[in-house]
Amino acid sequence: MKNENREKLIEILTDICPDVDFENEDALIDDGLIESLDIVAIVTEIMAEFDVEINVDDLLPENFNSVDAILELIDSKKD
Amino acid sequence: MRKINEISELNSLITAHFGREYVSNWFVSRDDAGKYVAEGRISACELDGSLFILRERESCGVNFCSLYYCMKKGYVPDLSFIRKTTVAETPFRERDVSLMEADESLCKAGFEREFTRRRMAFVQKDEPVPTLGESMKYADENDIPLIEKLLSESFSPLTGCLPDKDETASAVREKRFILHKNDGLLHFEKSRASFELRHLCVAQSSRGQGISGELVRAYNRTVPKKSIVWVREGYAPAEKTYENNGYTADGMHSSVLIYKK
Repeated sequence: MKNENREKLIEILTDICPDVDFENEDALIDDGLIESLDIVAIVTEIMAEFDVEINVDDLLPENFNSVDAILELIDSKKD
Repeated sequence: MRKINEISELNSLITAHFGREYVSNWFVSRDDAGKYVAEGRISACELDGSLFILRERESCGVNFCSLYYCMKKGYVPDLSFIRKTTVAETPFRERDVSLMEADESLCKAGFEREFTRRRMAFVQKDEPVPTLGESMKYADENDIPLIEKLLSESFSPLTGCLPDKDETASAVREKRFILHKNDGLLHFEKSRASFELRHLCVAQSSRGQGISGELVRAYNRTVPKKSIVWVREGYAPAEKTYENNGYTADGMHSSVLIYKK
């Protein structure tokens, strides 16, 4: 399930930011690889695909710096 | 419109208007949003399931608003809730069709397209140097009147994103204003990912002498990794200055619309 979620997330992210190596990058925000408008698009898709509600309060750089951080955010919303 | 008194109230409203059926230009950081609410400058209204947020602003004695939206795709709003001149800015890449369509919807509703900016980026290839060189210095407190004069002569209060008094004072303290004698100025911000060159201007009487290029080169030398700048599309002198000093377009644009009252 974890792997499935990871693959699904990477697919979403790659659709939105096709030029980014999501498998290996761990400073997506800090290095400016994804931007504010990407985060809004990513959150929109995550909410629909993973059936979770993400609050504006969650739109912090540290929640979007890597695939693992985003997966953690999604998991925390499923608890 | 109703005044928003708590950041939690604003966050709940925005969260309720996120989703695939919406498009939004709400790219305001959490800290900035909290500051605007604490200062009593934010109001909001819901129209047919879309959310509109106004931020009261004052620049060089001109009062106006900035508009943010979480708007249903294809929705054309009735703008009667807007009581004073309002600016709406939407950043987009050419693949962001829904953001461009939202921009069109605002034009259909009565906004006028003022101009478009494109973003250019400079990537540092050398070891950064903290010193500025001849004729340049970081501004100090005594230079604030000169800074305000140079900025107000060169930028529109509505669309120039001019810093207010607090922002100017903190930028001076943090050495984010570079002055060329008393006739040129460069202002920048520092973010997690990069520096952003916010304002570059030269006094009318000193233009044509290459001062803007000198300022950009001095600033570039101090940039640790990367610098970005938003340039008005079609404004050749600025585009040329940046192109000549290592900046290239990175594919991001920003549309600036105005609703005049």
